[in-house]
Amino acid sequence: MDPSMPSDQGEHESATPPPAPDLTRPATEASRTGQPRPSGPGHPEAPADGPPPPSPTPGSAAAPPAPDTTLAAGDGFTLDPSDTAPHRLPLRSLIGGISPRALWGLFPAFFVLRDTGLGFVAILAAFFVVAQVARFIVWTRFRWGFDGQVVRISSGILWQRDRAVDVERIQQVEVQRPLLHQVMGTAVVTVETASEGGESEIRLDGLDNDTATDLQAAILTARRRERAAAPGAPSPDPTMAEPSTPDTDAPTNSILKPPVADLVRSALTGSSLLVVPLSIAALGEFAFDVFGNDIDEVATEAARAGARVGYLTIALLVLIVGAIGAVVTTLLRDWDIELVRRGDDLRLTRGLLTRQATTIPLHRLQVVQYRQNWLRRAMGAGTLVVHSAGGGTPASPNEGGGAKMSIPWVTTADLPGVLAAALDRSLQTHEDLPGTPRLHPPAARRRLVWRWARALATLVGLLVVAVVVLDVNGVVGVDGPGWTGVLLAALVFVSGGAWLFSGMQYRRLGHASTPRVVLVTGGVLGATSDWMPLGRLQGVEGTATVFQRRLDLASVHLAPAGKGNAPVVITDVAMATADDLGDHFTLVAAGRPATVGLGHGPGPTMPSSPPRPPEHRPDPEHHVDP
Amino acid sequence: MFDDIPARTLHPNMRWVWVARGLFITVIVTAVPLAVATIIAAATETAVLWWPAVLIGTIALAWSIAWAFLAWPRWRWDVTEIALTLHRGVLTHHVTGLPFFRIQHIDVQQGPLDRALGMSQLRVHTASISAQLPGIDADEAVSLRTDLLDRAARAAAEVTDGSVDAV
Repeated sequence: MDPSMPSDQGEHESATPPPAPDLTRPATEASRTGQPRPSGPGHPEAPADGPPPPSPTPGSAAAPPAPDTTLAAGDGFTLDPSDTAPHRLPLRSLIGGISPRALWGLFPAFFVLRDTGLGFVAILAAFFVVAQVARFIVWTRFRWGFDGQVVRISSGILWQRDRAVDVERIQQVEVQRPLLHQVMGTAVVTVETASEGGESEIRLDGLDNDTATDLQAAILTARRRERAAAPGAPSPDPTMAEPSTPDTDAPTNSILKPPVADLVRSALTGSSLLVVPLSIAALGEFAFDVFGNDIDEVATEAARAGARVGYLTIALLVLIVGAIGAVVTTLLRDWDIELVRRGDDLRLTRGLLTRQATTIPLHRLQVVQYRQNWLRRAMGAGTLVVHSAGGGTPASPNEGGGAKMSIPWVTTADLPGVLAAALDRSLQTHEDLPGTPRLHPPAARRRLVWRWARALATLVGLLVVAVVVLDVNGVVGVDGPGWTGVLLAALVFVSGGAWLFSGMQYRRLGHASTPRVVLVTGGVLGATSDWMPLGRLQGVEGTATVFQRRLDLASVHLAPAGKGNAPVVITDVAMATADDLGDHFTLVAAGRPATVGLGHGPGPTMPSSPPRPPEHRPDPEHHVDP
Repeated sequence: MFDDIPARTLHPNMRWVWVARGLFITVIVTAVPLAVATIIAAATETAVLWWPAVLIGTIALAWSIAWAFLAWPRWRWDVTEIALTLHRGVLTHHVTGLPFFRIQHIDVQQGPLDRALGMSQLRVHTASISAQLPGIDADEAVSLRTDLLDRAARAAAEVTDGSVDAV
């Protein structure tokens, strides 16, 4: 921030007239229009060393409120100038809003009450009247408004909610006219932002047709003006302002094309191996359904047959069939899999019988995960999953703008190339990916020891309980090793296991960052690595449980955009490191990755990475090499 | 992040909202075991075993009241230069930094109890996490939202780095 820059709000005041006069009324929360939007890069900010100019409180607007004739007409309500969401939905929206599905809800009531005869009708009528009265009361409280800058709705009787959506954040405005609405001459307007929830942020059900189209046009105009006013600003909405071009002429570069042998390898080392055993289990359930109570006899018969063939042979057979099944399903799904970069899109095509294509625009990419289980880690390969914020533009009608794509077999040798391609748009030229992760403080290992000890002790405890129960039932012989022996064995198992596993996990715990990409590693027997472009970082959360605080540890959660994209968590760093990381990443999330180095002094902050940092840069204070 | 504690506290009445919520939870957690005990007693034709329910209820009551008074001083928030910062948590400390640039929309909510005590609740949504800021003075909540939305709009105009997308 540059505190010396002057504020030139006055200049812009006249330059930003309200766009759609017929839908615009003077905003009484005056700052929305009284403090107009900056018009592009280099616009002065609020002084860094003091609070920003105070926003006028509602009601203090200087401009006299002009009557909003367009929307007031026919609505039959008095306009309250201090109300920022002045409009009601038309009364007939109450009829249009009756959901046929709600009537289906009465269906069970019919069976319960049909014997009451006329009483049933009375109950039904009473129910209907109460519901309609409730709807009417809800309707009287529902207000909406658009002042050229902010769309608002206000609703609720007991729990009142008042929502404000800035046009700048609006992704989509839709006008729909379901059948009943067409008869009524009304429409449904839905306004969507990129917020975390699945449903529309604003839904105006039963607006009359003209108002609906006017509102849609006004919002779109306002947004266009907003975008035009700040040409340097990124468009938060790639689907409308910056479409990822489904341009077939764009240069297509093949990034990765795993051969069939690799697909077979991935089939034999992953969870697809479970496909056949799970199907058999499902078949078992089916058999139970078919044979019903005779299942015991069938099972006994099967066991007898099994004994004849030999259980080892059967186990082997299941294993072979399982392996074949895994290979077949994998090949069906992933045949001729290829990852290409076309223009600014990543595109994955695969499949034998049905070709599937997933496209992720690079600017929607949120997190890249590399997952290795212990087998794949030993073989030097793993699975790569690319997460996006979803909602990308489909390149063709048959092609989904996928939320994520998964490449089953990426060798460690191929990984840098794939990563470079995937994160290309997030990196600046001549900038490398984060280097070797830094280790976390030894206290993190102590916490892991406790956690593993707890998990293993729980396991042993459950086992002991099971054995005791069996013992009571006389299944286990009484001449066991005795309680001392059991306790000793449990102690050795728990402490040894905790020491071993915590060591493995601790060695995998790490994080590294460039100004543009953060890398977080983890895993126990296997290995996980998450890369997250910092340009998409939405918010930062630090957490410290009681146990973490006793060890002077904390975790930092980095939240990517997109529903269902779990945060990338830097677990168990020193409290001081977490402080600095949190402050740094909050700055980054605020959109200042390039200008803000990690200027929190030397020490435990993230490396403001020179390309390729040296191996394991130990930090005297907070990090140690094993 | 953890070290700089924001200056502002919640509305003092927030403690009473939490106490009320605690009472409600207490009633539920007492009623359920009591109902179970009654059913068992009816089925086995023995006397109602009431003390577990009472014990659970007492613990729940003590904890929820204690929590309300422990949580209030821990709940701190402030509007910094770039972000809305929230500190909270009794057993687990939570710190949230929500940059204005990422704010998608903001709800102001008010329940019946909030209204009686002159408070509102802000809910700030981003494209991934949403943060709740309860116990804001009802008169202040709307202007606070206006201020935050304003800062969000300004921040969006300031960010010119091409690799930074709001989503």
